[in-house]
Amino acid sequence: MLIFLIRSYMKVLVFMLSFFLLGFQPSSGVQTTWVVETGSSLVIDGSSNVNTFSCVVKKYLNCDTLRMFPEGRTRRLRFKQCTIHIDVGQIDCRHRFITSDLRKTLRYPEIEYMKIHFVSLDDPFPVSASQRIRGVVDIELAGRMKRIDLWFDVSHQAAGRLLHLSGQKELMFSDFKLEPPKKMAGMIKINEELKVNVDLFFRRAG
Amino acid sequence: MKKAIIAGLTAGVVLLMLSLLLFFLQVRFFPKLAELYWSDMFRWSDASTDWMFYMHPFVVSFSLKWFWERYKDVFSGSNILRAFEVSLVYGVVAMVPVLWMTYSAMNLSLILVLTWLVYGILQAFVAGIIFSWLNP
Repeated sequence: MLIFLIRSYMKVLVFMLSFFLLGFQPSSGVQTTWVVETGSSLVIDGSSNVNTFSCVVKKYLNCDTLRMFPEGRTRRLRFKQCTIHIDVGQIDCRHRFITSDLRKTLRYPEIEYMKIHFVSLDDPFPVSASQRIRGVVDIELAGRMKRIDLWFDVSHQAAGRLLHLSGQKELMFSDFKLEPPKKMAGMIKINEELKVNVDLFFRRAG
Repeated sequence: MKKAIIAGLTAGVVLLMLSLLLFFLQVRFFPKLAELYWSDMFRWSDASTDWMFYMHPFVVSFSLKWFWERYKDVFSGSNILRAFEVSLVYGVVAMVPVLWMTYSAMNLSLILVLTWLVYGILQAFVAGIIFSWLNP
């Protein structure tokens, strides 16, 4: 009887250990945690009526993590702790005055961070490598939030432990009730449209 | 008096159109030059001061109108020659000293300041033609 109990207990133990040690793909119904890796970048392409510019943010001050939960029976994942903070002071447009005007437009230093809240994401382990997945993010800019759909190209390495999401979206200053910088009574002005390119590298934690 | 006001307003409207045209051409053909306005030396566009920018042709035209009424007898020859002389006098007497000081005191590009000199002389030339035509 005792041997039978020990055997049963061992079976349960082995099952639980394999559950945690082997890990699960995100779609298998278990929470997974992903850490934003260095090398992630955000590039904002814009233009004025006299030139074009490209603003880069390479430094994510907060080492954010994303916690994914499968949503019901769908292959979509919902996020819980899922905000990437981008220091507006780190935005660099490689043009001193456009950089300073853009930061001023984004109400820096009063509002220090641009935030990307991840709401949901299609399963980032698509069947084919070229498949694109849809993500829903809330972008908080200058204190105003807008929910947008973002299509990502996905690639993963290291047996699914490294994930690269690459997407782009056209946004307008007016989406956030912001007015683009203007000089000389509006004769020199930054155009409304901005193209945001996001390159995110995640490492699966644990 | 009425003629002077009409001449001043006419010149103001023409100078306003000239300034818009020149700015458009600058942006279109000399974007690198226009890019120099992305500088902290220039204030942000704002309704509280933008109107002043668009009023400047009228300030110039009425100032030149006063000058024209006072000294028009000094300038002789055809309308174009008189306008040319007025524009040179305006450039040398009014623009050069102010721009000299502006360049020495503010962190501005020399080429930008020189474009203002040319722009000022051109404004005075156009205003001179209008005045010599309306109030010879």
